[in-house]
Amino acid sequence: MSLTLTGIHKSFPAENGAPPLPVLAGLDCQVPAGRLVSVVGPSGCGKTTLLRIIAGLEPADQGRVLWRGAELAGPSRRVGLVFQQYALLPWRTTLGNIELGLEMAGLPREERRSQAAEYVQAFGLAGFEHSFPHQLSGGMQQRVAIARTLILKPELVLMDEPFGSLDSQTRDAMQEFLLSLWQQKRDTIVFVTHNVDEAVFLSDEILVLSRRPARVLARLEVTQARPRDRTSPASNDLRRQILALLKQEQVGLV
Amino acid sequence: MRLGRWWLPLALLALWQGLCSLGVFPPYKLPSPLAIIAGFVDLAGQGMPPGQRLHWHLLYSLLRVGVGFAAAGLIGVPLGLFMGASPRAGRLISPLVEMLRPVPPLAWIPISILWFGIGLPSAGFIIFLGAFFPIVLNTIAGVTSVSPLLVEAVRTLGAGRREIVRKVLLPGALPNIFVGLRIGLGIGWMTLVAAEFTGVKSGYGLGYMIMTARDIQRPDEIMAGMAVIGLTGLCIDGLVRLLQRRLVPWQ
Repeated sequence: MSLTLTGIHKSFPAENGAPPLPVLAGLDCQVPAGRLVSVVGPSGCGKTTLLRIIAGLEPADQGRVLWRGAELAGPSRRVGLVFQQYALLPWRTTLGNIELGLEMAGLPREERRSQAAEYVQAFGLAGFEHSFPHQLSGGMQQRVAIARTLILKPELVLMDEPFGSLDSQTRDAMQEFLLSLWQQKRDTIVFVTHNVDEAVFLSDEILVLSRRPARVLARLEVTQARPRDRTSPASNDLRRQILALLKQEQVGLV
Repeated sequence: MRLGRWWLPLALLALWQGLCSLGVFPPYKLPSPLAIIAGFVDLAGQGMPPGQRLHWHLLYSLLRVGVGFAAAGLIGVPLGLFMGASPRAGRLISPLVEMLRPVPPLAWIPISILWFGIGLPSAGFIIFLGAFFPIVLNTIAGVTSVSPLLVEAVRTLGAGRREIVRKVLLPGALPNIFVGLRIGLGIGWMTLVAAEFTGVKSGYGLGYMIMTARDIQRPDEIMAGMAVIGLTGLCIDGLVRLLQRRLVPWQ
């Protein structure tokens, strides 16, 4: 009962005849169901490509993506993806964006409205139901985007640096918000971030990727009980350990 | 305050009237603004040719533009969506579009009369050609301007091809589609009057009215007719802009 990636290869064609650029070369990893797992790695190492492959937006050149024993091929409602740039439809209001997936699922209008209204409440968006995305703050836009994904009740939630463009206070608040959601539902989350503090604060488990082509350098359990203190010695030790691993990877890169 | 925007045109009109009253321009070449207003009253009251009054000419012209423009929109927007959404179809069709586009709509008049005869279908066809290309090209530009990220986002929410077109590409292209519709309508309206110069079976149309006024040497009515064309174009554009504000409220 887990997400299992075996031997994932992916390279991108290079321009003017150069050999293709390998981004993932035989990546293996496993994410047990019901856990919140972060993926950290040097920038440009292929974290986003990895998520896009799991989400079915990009085919892998080789290798298999199994979720609960069955192959994932192509985007599916069982797998949700939250983007860093929110990717809200600018012509839809908060409600309209949250309802989007239910519309595709063919739910009748009243049913959609009532479900979306619940999420509006739970996500602290009351009073902004009829606002367009450009009228919302970054944190609110990301809450709309998360609501839009979670309303479909995906079994596996992929998040691609979802708080990367928020200011640090909003980011902390969003991390706590995400944890409170997850602690109610215990769905499986794969959380890509370049922010080590964030990974240490949120995760059950952290996968540290190597530089490109990416493979899993280390798999670290975070045993600290929640709620966590961001500045506890245990957090600091873990952070130091991850940063050391990442630093090694940067050698010869810069 | 409001006068601020209008003082220059008003001053020019006054200058024009003054020069005409002083006899600087001969009235058979350039009638004065007041004479043009009188010409307008004649067009509205008696008509040109007499008995065929202005509002009927206007109505016929609007009908022709309406038919041609509606056809251009109904074919141009879906075609543009299709060409924008499918790069392969776009590559296949675009050489054809690019080849036909530079041919001025008026150059189609002879062949159009041969095909459709003189009457509403051939006038509508000419207007269609004038409006069609800006609509297609702007729709394509609108579709390609939609961020691929939005398409991916709705794919992860379970959207299929049709839903991507209906819920992402069409609304995303709407601002550009409106640009195309406004340009197309403007060109269609311009083309119409010229198309009516070449003959209309019904004996109605603003272009036909102006040509008749020329035949009997009424420059005041010619210019009044031109003013009606300009003002009507302005009103139509205003209506489309109003519609745009209703349909594209997020901009």
